[in-house]
Amino acid sequence: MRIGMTAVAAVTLFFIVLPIVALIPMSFSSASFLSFPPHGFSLRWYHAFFSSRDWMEALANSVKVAVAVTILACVLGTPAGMALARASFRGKELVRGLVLAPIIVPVMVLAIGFYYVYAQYHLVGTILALVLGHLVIATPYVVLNVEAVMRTFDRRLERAARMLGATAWQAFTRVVFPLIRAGVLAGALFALITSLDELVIAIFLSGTRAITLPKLMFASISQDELNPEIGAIATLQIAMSFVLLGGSEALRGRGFRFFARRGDREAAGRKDGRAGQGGSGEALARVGATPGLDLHGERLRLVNLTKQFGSVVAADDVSLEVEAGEFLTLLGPSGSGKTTILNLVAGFEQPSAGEILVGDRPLTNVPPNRRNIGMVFQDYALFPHMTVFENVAFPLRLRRMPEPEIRRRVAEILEVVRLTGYGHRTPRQLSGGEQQRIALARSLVFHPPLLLMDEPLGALDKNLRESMQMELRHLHRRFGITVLFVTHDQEEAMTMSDRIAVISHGRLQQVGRPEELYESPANEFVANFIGESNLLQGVVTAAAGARLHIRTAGGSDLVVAGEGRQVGDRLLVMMRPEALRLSLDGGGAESVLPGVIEEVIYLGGFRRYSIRLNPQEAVTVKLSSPSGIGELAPGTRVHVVLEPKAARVL
Amino acid sequence: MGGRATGPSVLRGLLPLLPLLAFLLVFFVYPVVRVLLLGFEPKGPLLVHFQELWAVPLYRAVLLRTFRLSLIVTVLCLLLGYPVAYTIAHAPQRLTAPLITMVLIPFWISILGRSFTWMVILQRNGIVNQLLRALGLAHEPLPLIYNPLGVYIGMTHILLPFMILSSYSVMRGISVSLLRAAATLGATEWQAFRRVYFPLSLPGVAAGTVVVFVIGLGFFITPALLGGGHVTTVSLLIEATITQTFNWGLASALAFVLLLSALLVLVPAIRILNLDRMFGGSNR
Repeated sequence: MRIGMTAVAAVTLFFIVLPIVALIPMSFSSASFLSFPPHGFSLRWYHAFFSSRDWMEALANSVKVAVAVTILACVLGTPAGMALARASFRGKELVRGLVLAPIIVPVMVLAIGFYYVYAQYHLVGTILALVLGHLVIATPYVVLNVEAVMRTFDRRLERAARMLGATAWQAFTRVVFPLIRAGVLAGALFALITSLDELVIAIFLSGTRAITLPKLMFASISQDELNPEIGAIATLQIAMSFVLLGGSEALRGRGFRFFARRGDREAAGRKDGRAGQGGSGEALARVGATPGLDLHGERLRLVNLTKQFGSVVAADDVSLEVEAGEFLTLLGPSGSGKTTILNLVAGFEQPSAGEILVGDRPLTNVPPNRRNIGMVFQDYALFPHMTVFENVAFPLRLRRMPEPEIRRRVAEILEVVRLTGYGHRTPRQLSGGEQQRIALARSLVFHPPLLLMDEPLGALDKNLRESMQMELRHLHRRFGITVLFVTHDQEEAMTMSDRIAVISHGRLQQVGRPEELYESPANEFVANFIGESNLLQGVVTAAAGARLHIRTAGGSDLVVAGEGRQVGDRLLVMMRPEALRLSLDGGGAESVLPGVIEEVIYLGGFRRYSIRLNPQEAVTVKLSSPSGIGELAPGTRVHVVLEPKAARVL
Repeated sequence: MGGRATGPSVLRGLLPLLPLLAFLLVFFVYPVVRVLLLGFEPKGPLLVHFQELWAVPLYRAVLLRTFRLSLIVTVLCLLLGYPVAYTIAHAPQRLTAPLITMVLIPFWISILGRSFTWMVILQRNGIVNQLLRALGLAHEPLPLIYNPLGVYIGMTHILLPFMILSSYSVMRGISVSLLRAAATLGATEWQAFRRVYFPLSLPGVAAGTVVVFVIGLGFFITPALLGGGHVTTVSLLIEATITQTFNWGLASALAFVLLLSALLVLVPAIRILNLDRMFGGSNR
């Protein structure tokens, strides 16, 4: 089957290129008719074209119209394309349909419409009429191309620029436009070619005074069918197309490299991961030897911060203080509102209510670029069109620092992140871990008092992530900057943070040191989210002497430490799996739950047992192996031993 | 971020679009609406021009011929374009760029230039006739232009890249592992193609088909040149009606029918159309 496909494809491709292959040699023929093979070599038909006043006038008209159309199409189409890619408003599809409709409407319908209206204003036969007519069919191509690149444009790059101190206009001219320029140029090329080649509209609008090249060609073919001069012109058109295509290829090269980069980055990431295993010790030693930076943290305060999107409350009355120099992590599942809080602090969103203060400085109504806060983005948001040096120097240049000072600072911070000598590289030549460190360098180089990190390690593989966690922690300890870190990974939060703020459904659930959260979770959500836990519902049956006797919903009886509860109170008992023990006879313990082993899972350093207490309830027990009570097979009757202090009531 | 923009930010979102929208309303919508209204006679019988279109056999024949022409060309593009797109999508990576360039090069040459080139190639003493005679397949030069055959060849050549690019952009996204999975589940190569690959490639093929058919309906230059006056399409008829008989009413009625036919095909298909696949930056 594939052979059949390939055969048809080969014939079709031959069919596609045949006209070009055949025409070009014929146009150099010295014979006064077009035939193949050509008779002798001559440039007489090119000479005839270039020495004819009529042809040259038509060429001049075409070029005039096309240049004007290209410029105007870019002016009208670029903002429109950006808006269509970004803005979200009702009726957007309708607007998009209108903008693109000129491509779809048969051009003959357009041509007679223009002819009818322009004739009334005596515009037929003018360059202006041709420009207006061509502009209608050329602009949609600019819109489409700009919209296409704009959609692939990572908006975080613009946000990164704002965080580094760029005004909205600076972010556009230095980051957005350089990256979408290829799309604008591709659109411009389309507009140019569309206008240069357009015939049907020209037939009606060029009259006798503004004859374009295609119109004269058409007239010439209609009179004298196979005029060899036309062969020369068509060949020149092909040559022009090749030149323009070559130009656009050079532009599109960026696009291809953009795609290739993903693969590169993955490969580099893997390589880096392997290196990271052995290299982290050395890395840490070297961090200790770096020069001291003039960094100091400031306190961050969120006061009754609320953010609503329509009817959705993404942040609900959040009050939180991050001490100067503290590493605080916002921990929560996706959609919990942690990124919203980060965006409020960064200034990408405005709070519906409440206030944010850094030091004693309220941030409300301060745009992101004036907040002087460092931020590391999830995918680093390094500017792909700038080298490492230019990326890191970006915030300093925006602050109009003198160039020698910029060079000194960049060199200094590159040394801190151990990437001295990487300045001339482009971001796509870096591995994932290196990009991460450059992003960190860029956000620290202007010495902000506060650093925001939005899941910065999420894109790295496990080994590299762990070594980066340690490295970040050491950098933080060394420089004493205040860090607000966002993650959904509780292990990462426990590893790195001084304190953790657990958030769910836009509300703070609990704020505390990692051990506080683990040992005394404030509620069921925290108990489940931080570490593993067994949760049993129950009713207090007796309360005496700091002991609560509880009967669970499934009918098991247990005794836990606790005060201030009344008989009849409903509560939740939480037991960490590693705080429970197993016993075959159950003798001697204050609280014992009889059950049957359902499943045993071997996990290297420990075993995890699932124990069925009754038809409704089961608990998990983790015992380090060897556990001292030998191999317990599923089906064995055991007793779960619960020390009263090992359980907590919620 | 979340939620739709409301209030003043809607205006801010629309603001960059306003100059273009204003331009299109004045210089695109207004002329088209004005000229289409000429097809209706408010004083006489409103639809007299449309009745004429239906009653005069010549006009009816032109309408039907235009549809048939576009349909045949669409089928040809489908039969020739699908294998090309498939082959490019499955070619070794180093061949992809050169093959795509081969498809794109003619795309960059004007329809006028390409139609003229086909006139030269297909003429009585053109390459094709010389070749056929050299191979002994024909004794007399075959009439390859100034008839529907020439128009089919020229239009197919011009519209093929649309079909190929549209199909290719979808095929490129079909994972090879789907075909491997089908093979492990017992499908032959043909069954895997028929039941897995082909249905997945359909969105691109369908979009290409719609675009080729609609563009084909409006063709003017190629039938004018390669048809040599023997193949009249609606667009040619409109042009002749205005420049030779000055019958704006009839021309507008024809334009109305042409536009309506295009919209009737396009609007139901609008969801599958992805115009930037065919006209957007990354493809050219």
